[in-house]
Amino acid sequence: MEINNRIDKIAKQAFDKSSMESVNSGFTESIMAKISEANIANYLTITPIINKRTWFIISFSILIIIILSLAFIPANNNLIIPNVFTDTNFSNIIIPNINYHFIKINLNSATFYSIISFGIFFIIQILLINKMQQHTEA
Amino acid sequence: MTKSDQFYIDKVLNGEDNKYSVLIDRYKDLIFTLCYRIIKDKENAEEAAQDTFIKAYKSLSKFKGESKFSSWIYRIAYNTSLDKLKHLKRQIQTVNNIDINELNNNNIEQALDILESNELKDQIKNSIKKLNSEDAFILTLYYYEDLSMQEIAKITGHKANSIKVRIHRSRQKLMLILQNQLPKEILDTYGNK
Repeated sequence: MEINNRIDKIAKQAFDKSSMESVNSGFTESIMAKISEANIANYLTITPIINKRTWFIISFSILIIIILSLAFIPANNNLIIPNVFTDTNFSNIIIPNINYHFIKINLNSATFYSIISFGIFFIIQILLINKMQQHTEA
Repeated sequence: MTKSDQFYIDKVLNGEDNKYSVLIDRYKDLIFTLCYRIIKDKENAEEAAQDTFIKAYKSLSKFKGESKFSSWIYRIAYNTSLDKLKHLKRQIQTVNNIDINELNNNNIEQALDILESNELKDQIKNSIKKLNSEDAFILTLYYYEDLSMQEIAKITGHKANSIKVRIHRSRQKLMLILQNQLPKEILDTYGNK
């Protein structure tokens, strides 16, 4: 018991005697500079209006629509997308044998319209975001 | 009169960022020491100490004052240092496998007499460095900061009983390391008295 008490006393002395380690000079200034930089960076960083999670949900929903439409909508409901390249016949103007490279794409009409709708909403959203951003900055 | 930590925390939260330097100056040496106890390398310990203060600054609004600011920042330092250590994947030579049964009563009596009567700062520092990272951290809080076992348990996330056992075992380890590390000339000089 007495030994334990002495060990306790010496351990206490050891941690007093060992004294504290000291940081290099300029330690505080360095942290304050980093904090200042971080604050400026935060101020300058434009936080996205649509976060990653929302983008994931949008993409996932579109994917589900495409898969469902491909799986369940009858094949006779197909829509043939007009092939601008083949109909206009740019083959001799731009790239030789372009008709060979671009085949007609057969898509289900629901899929086609969902892609077109997504594209339109995407463009509207970009315009809205731009407007909101300008409003915030003002 | 020294103003409380909470006074400066409120100032920082009200937009006076420069007041945070007072808190850094107040705790920098202890935080650095705690990081060094775990990481055992000055350069990396200083980086961990800086990260600790930056993390604390970023989370300052989450500090509700339910515990002391010091305990809160010690916890950040503890986690930051352990993360840093994991990241460095350094193999630190500690005395995890030391057999404290080697702490022979007859030998330790002599070693304790020597330790009590000598200024052995360097030997003590080296001995602390050889302790297991967490043991050294816990002993620093217990002996230097006079924190209770419950407070240390909250900081480290261990149970108070386990802290009690750890303190008991690690101070015995420390004594054994100190005893084995005593310079021969001191032992000889003391033995001739």
